Amino acid sequence: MSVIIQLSELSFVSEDGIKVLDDVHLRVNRGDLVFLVGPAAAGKSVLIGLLGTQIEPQQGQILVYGRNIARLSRKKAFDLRRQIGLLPQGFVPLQKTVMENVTFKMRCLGDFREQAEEKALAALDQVGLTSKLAHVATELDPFDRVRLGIALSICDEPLLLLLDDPFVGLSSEEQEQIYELLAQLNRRGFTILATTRDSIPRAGSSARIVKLVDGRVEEKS
Amino acid sequence: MSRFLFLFGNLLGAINRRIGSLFLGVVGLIVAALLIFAGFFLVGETTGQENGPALAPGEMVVYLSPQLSSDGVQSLYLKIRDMPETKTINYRFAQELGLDQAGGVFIIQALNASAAASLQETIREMPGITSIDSVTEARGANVSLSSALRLGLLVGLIVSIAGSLILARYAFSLLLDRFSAEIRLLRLAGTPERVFQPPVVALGVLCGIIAAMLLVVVVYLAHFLALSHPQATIHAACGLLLPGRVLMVGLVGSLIGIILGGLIGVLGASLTSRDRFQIYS
Repeated sequence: MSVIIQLSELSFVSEDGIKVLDDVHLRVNRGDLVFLVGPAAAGKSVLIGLLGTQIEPQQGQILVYGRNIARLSRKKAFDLRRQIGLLPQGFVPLQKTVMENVTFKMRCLGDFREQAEEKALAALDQVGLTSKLAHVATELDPFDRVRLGIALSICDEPLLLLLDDPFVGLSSEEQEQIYELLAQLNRRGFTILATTRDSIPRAGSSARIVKLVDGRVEEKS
Repeated sequence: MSRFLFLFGNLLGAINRRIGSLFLGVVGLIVAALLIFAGFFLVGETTGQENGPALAPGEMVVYLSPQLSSDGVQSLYLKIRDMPETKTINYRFAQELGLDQAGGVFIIQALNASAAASLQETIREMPGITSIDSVTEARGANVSLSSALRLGLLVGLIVSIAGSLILARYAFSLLLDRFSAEIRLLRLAGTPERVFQPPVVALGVLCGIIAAMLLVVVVYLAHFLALSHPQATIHAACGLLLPGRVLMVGLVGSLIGIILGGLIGVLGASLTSRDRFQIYS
């Protein structure tokens, strides 16, 4: 089974000297659905930022698709980033329609309009947002915003999805639906690493759960 | 439509009325800087002979005898116009140029300096010509400015350039705030800075191009106005009477305007690396 993410001896200290991650070891295989659970300020977002090449690594090894992030040139880091779908916490969409949000990303990645619209429709269909194509994205409720964020993450078909607390601000029923959506995407071949500060939705009990407490990883099987 | 044009269109779409007026202010300040630059070359009196008109290199004033009939003037005009060395020829009354004599004059522009010499020789032999005034290159090119005026222009130039940079930084800061969701989305998508910075630079260049075009329009309007009122212009802005000088100022000024616009754009693009446009900072 091929390894998508391999973290070894990963540590990270914030600007104000707080140890956010401390000797983290983690391995995510292709096809895994992993939930990284931990309280606020446990280091979950930093870990997602490091994996998504949005934060400069400090110490330890981060291998994504077998490539060491710390040693990548700027160009290669951008290439790698394009193979990762990343949904940050508190994602703010563009003040455009749902459809335009996704096509904007695809056009900026170099697709022509027709190609971008085709991919956008496919992604929005996968998350069940085709009925709201013409809605202004900033006026969507939190549940639909998360679904739009996921559509944006998957529209250029990356193999790895990194989702930073997609359940925050959602009712337990909506959390269940998001979990179902993630499980569905996972079955379609996406490797998913999602963080959450709360407990995993009931339906998610079959997923692999990794606890992050005080910057250290404790794996539950 | 290319990715650059798509992003540029989106960036322009983020401009609201307030930001638009700020950018108009930037264009206005660049135009002011360019006009002040032009002033160094176009304003002031020529160092040519005291009672003669301002002349460009290759240009000459041919004084006609007051005894010449209008048919004689017409015939001379046509003869000189048809000479291969002649580029342009205009008839003026001597009084129009503030000359203290009766009759008319031809203001002739030769093709080049060497053509001017032979043209002058040929014309001198023609009947009805009393004298010819021409200038050497150095004399025609000098425009004298008082040191106070020179200092004033220099201060104005510095103030307008600094003002345009400060105003542009503020305008870009507001514009990029309105475009910040797009920038963050681009970063999320793994788009490098070299994709979303060029449209910002292009916006600065566009300001420079608009300013350069305005400069050319203003300078040429002033040039044509000066040609129709040469007497009023000679002592205030004799450079405006010299077509070559006006062309040079227009070209160099345009180039400076575009470069200044590019610098303003680079200044704007540098703001995209601020923390507030990062997803994780």
